[in-house]
Amino acid sequence: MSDFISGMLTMGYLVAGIFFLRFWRDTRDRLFAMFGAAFFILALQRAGLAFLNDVPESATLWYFVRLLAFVIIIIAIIDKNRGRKR
Amino acid sequence: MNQPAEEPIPEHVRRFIVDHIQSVESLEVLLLCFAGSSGEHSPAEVSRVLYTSLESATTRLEELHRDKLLVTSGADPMKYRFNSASPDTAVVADLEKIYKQRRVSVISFIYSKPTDPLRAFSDAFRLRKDEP
Amino acid sequence: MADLAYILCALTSIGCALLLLRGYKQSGSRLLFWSGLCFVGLALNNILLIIDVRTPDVDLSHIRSLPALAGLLLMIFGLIWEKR
Repeated sequence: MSDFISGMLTMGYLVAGIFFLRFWRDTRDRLFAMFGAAFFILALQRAGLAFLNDVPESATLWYFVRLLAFVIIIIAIIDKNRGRKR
Repeated sequence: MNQPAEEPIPEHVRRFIVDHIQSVESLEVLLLCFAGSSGEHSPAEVSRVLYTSLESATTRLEELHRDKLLVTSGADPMKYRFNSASPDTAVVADLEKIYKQRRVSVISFIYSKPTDPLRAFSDAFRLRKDEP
Repeated sequence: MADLAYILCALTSIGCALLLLRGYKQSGSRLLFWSGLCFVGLALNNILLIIDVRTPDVDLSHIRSLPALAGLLLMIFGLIWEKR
């Protein structure tokens, strides 16, 4: 997994995260804050993996960090749908 | 009905509609609260007066509340009142006047405006699409 | 155990991709199209990860992330290019 691609991905996730944060600022919609957080975590995970130096065991730990990002997205979707039922 | 035919809706009113009004229903709810300035309205009342479902009325009131156009009393049942401290009070007054005079133009405008992409993004994650 | 994690990531990505692409069809808002593609990329990334973990003789590590990168680039393009 080339460092270059890792670097691009990390930067990409960060940039996307910042956009989502801006959308949250503009709309005050919690969903955007949570997507922003998720993408920041994906950036973190990608950076973490890049610095691993081929230690395969710790890789699994970092994949749980990725899971965290997706769990946040799931929570965001649930949160968006819960407000409806009254 | 002798109005200058194609006089466009004033810019500040248009901007307000684009930013805050998604549907004719939202507009009617807002104007209902605005007109009865001092009175408080519960979702049940709003749904009764506007002949709309309780669920829609509640959603609209919540949206307008979130946009800081309405304030709540916090009582149970929740009642909503127009936020007279809102910086948009003058615009809403103009909107009310224009809506009375040119209902059709306002309605056409509401439904012709390009969808706000952020709202579309957020709405994409609503699993049940029965809200208008 | 880790498998479950990867599967959940893949399912979530697929779910988001579907919701966004459906939203694009309904609203015509192009931002949703680009974002949908990003989640398609993430989904492919996660699926390739699952396959890679399950097949010891095949090594996909060099190509796993490419769909994610492609999707991410497309979404960033959309975020910057499309009107808000």
